Amino acid sequence: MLKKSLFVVLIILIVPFNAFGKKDTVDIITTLTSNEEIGFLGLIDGVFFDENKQRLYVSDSSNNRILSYDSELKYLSALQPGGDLKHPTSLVRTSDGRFLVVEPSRKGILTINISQKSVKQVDFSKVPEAETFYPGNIAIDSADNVYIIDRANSRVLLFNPNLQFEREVLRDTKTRISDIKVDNQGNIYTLSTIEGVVKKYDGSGRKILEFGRRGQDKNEFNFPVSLAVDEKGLIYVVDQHKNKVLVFDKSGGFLFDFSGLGWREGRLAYPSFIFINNSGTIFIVDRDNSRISVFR
Amino acid sequence: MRRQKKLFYVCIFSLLTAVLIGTGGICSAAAKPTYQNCLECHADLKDKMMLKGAHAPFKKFQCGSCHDPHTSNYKFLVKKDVGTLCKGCHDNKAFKRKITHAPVAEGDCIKCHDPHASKNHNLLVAKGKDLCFVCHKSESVFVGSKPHAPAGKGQCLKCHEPHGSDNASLVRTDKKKLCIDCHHDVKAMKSDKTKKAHRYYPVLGTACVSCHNPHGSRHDNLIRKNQHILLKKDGCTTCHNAPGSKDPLGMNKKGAIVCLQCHKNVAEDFNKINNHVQDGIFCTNCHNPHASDQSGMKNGPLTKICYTCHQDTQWRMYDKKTKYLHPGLKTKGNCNDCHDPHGSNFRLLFPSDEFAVCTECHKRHGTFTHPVGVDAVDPRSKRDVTCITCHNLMGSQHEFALRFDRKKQLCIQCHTSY
Repeated sequence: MLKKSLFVVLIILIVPFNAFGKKDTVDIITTLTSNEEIGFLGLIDGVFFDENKQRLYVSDSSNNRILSYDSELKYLSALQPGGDLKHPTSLVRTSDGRFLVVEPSRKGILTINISQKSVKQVDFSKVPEAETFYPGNIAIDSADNVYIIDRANSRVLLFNPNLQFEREVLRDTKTRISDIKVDNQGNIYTLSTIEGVVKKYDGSGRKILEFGRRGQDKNEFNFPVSLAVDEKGLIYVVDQHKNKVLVFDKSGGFLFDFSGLGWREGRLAYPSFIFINNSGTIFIVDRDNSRISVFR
Repeated sequence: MRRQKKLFYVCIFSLLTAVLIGTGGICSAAAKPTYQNCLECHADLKDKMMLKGAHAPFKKFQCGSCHDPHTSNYKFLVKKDVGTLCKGCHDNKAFKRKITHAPVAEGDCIKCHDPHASKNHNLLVAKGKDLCFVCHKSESVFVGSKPHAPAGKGQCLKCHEPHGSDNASLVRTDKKKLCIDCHHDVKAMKSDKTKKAHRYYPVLGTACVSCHNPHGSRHDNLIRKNQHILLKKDGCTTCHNAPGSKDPLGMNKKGAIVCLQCHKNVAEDFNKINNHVQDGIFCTNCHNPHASDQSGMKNGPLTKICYTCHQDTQWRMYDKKTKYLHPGLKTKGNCNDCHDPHGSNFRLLFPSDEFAVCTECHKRHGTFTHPVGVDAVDPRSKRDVTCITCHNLMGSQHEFALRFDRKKQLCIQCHTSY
């Protein structure tokens, strides 16, 4: 009888501990580092995973090249279209294979069409206040619409799949926009580094969620620089000075964080960008370690 | 039966004892701590206690409200760190404003207040300028020989909030309204002399401190030390609309173009991979376009400018765990010695690669050093070893601003076989 009672007590104590006490975990899978084949990675900026081709593209800004990796994250090749690429930063690839690459050095966005062997600048002449336009990060939705941050005017510009200017989706008069991502439902997520604020808008540019602040608590940001959204709608924010990734639920509630300052695999040193693909693999530009850290 | 009775009495006795101990009834009044005994040793506090403005708990011998008479983890045997302790009773709204005075943010209340008693109002350790100028050195506040009357008299609180404010520089109201509180003589403001001095632009209601130093100046009318060349040459219309136009104070070009049309070399810097491009006329985030007491027309000392956005860097630098920093970082705020504030194609806004930046000053280390550069690979990250692989100049617990203890942990990070 006593044994039975003890067993029941143990079960009562253990079950809730396991069921509710378990913390979400994100594990390191691999790191893409400098090696003999590709040489030293320079200042890495953008990362994009092409779901159609199952390839990862990395912009190695200071080396003026885009590196491609296969679905197994094995290095394939470096794209340097006729020396036309100058300090590429953020990048996306359309479903028909065109690369769109931000070049702050030219204050523009370059379109690279490998099959047609053409390289040309996106036309901003129809954008209002084009004279002050300054490109920030770019994002693409499932219909190939391209969203471009205009840092000098704190707004997001929408270009259709033919790369014609459609409209100004949103203008943020209160906070500055540092990063942008679009989820599979067409919702737009923006991050402001200086104010430490994440905002979610619907496709029409109507704000539906806002959260975050800068501070020293676990759920607050030191210096947030990039964000991404996974298939479940969880929002991941890279905090460059905390050297961590903070994860929030759909309504902006803090869930957990992962990683921390370090140089070994799984640790981060001044991370600068995050991208999550449809299968939930997390790619983080680990800038000061000159590598891409891949988590899941 | 007898045994049960005995047990009953034992239970009753135990219960009563427990109740008496719980309510303190068993302790005699004499055993209750009285803090009057404190003065037997701390005799120096006797005189303070007689002062009119003594802190109420101190006056009432409630020493235990702040101190633990036996042990504490904090200096002076206080129960909690001073900031938390004071804020426990003094929940001041000013503490929650956008900008807080550094000692308030650091919980260093006793920097300005005496927690026991003072001859001064609000338990202040000193009066007026004798208080403020302990930290805000008068030579840095008064850049010239002609002080603004309130500042010269040390009436700092006429313009500033001592704890916190929603306005920059802890001023009491918006800087566009602040001056008018005293200088409300509209007739004088509309005189021909004033109009001419302001090139016939309607400046009433604008930020006077853009050109005038509210503390003092070497120039007449408190004009700041360095003036923009266009201001000197009556070239206001290079940037602004004409004085007689519909929007005279409006800019005649959009965004930062108004500055970059002349400062073309700087415009190039903003086209680099890392840059400080922001919205609007972002140059004015750091520079004063009219007049400044700083070099490069900066709108304040670098620490102030940089910390406006990089407040987390300030938190780390002032963290109690931070013992070693790059010299001059706190005192001089020489951020620009290592970082290019406009733009850079290198990491962390360095003007060139890390090794070149450091050896610019540390020349001896440029001639002999642990192997660095492309021939020395950090086995942890596979990137090239540089100075900042081992040093963290922005704040470290370890000697020489090293990332790890050099005697125990540093070398074995890479040299694992040792």
